[in-house]
Amino acid sequence: MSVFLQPIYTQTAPGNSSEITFNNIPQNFTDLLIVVSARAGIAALSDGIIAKFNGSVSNFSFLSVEGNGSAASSGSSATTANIARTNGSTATANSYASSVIYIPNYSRGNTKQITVSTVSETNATTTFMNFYSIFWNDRSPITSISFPQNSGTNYTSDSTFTIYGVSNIYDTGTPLAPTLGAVTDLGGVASFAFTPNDTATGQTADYYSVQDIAIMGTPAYGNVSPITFPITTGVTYNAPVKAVNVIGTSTSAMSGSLTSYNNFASIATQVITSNTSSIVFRNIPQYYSHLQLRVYARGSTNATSGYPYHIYNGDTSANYSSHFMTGNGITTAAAAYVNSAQPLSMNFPCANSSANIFGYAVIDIMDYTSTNKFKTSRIMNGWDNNSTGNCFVFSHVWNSFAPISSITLVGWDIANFVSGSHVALYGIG
Amino acid sequence: MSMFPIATAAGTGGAGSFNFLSIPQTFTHLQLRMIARDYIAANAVYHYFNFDSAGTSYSQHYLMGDGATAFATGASNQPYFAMDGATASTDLANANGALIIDVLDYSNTNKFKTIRVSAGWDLNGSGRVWQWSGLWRNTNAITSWILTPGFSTTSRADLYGISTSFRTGA
Repeated sequence: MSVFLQPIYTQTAPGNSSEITFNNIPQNFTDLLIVVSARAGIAALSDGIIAKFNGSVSNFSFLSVEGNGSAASSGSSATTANIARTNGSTATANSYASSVIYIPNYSRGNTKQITVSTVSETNATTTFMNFYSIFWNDRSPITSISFPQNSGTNYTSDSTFTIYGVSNIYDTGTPLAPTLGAVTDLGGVASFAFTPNDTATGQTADYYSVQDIAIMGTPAYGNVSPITFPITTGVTYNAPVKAVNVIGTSTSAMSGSLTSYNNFASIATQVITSNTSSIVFRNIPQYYSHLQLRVYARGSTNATSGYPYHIYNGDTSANYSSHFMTGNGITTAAAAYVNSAQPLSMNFPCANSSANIFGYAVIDIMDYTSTNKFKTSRIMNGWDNNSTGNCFVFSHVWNSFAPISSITLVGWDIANFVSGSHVALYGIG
Repeated sequence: MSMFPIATAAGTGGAGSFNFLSIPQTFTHLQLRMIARDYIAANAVYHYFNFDSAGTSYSQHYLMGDGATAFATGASNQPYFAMDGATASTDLANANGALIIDVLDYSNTNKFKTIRVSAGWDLNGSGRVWQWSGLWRNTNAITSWILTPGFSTTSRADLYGISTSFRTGA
């Protein structure tokens, strides 16, 4: 038995972001319900989160009733609105503000009225709780919602934001079976594409799932195509896509036998065609176990060689360390960069090296999605100038429990990656 | 679908408690929906987590209106949550208080547990409406929830688990 409250998206703050954004909000629900549990780095007991729809903080106004533990008050603004609260760094440790936001008729062509209940509880005399009534004087359907922290400080890790869809259409029948599309081996996971057949009112699917019919095991779930299903190398799978609602389940055609001997899959490749100071991989899939970057590069600076570095999730703080040892065929050397914002992690030939000489680096990042580990990588790297050269072994650590969702290679010491450089990102199952 | 009933408790008309034990750890949030009338001449709803009811681990604040006045206050270092929200046994017959209590991330072992409560009653001439906030300063996952002091036979509490999404929409 369930009520029709469908989770759409959830995000856990990585610890280095002051704004959380949800894009591509489905338009097929009636209302939205959002729950927020948040803490930020602001040096205060509590602070606000600003209302931002479709990338804009304009056309908002709000009324507030507030209690602070000893007095009640009321306030308003005709130009901006707070939509939730965070606890700040001076609030009781490990305490997070709790907010519930209700947006009826978010996808219709009407102006939007939003109600909010938010509390910022700490073990202190003074604390804050509010009721907000917010008016967004815009008839656009809400397709994205952002939560910028008022002071611009980062949300702490473990701050969570979840959007639910609420519908006034109740299922009266089993959903229609989806049409199975291509099943693709991605190395460690299989991608099941499908076409929903939700054409009948009252027979829509709440969600879709994939589960092997013989092995069973843990299903993979999704709301849209494709669904990625974890697979083990050498094991044969045969699975349909199921459409599920509270009335029942319907099943697509079977996938046919799928046996993968591939757990090393290409995610993305970037080929440099002109001087580029940084190379970024975003939205890295989270269903692999490890990552490998294979870098073929040369720098533009007027030197024989130079050191770029790599960072994660846009974290430019001094949250990294790296060490290396190197040999040039005659001598050896070693160095360390501790608690650094520029954790040198590669060395490549540059403009004063012989023409057409590029260097090569292989960066292995283990357990990149683990929320219990800092992220360690090992780099094997070298280049040969036909008279000189260097080989390197680097170690590199990012002091964060956040899963890696983006990687940035920064030219820095080499200034730019030159044309002919390329970087390939692989996922390892 | 994301909101699943876990358990229901009904009042006995005497001293006792609503006991929610062995709360599944498979959800993300909890919501308790309660309609309550105390078996005594009080409006109390006392509650605590994981049998922690004798220390100083709780704090709470409220914002209250009674139709004429708005009022706010709070208390720190309490042995349990001591909230109002039920009607008293001496109040208008058949009138009950209503409470909805949300606990976000109840199983997260990196957070103290914050509760948000909307509550109120109307006695056709008087009434109260509250928003409470509460904090249990303990990072343990919530595995049990006890509500006292005892409630009428028309009282009930329903505990729901709310799941979350696997998509980020980033």
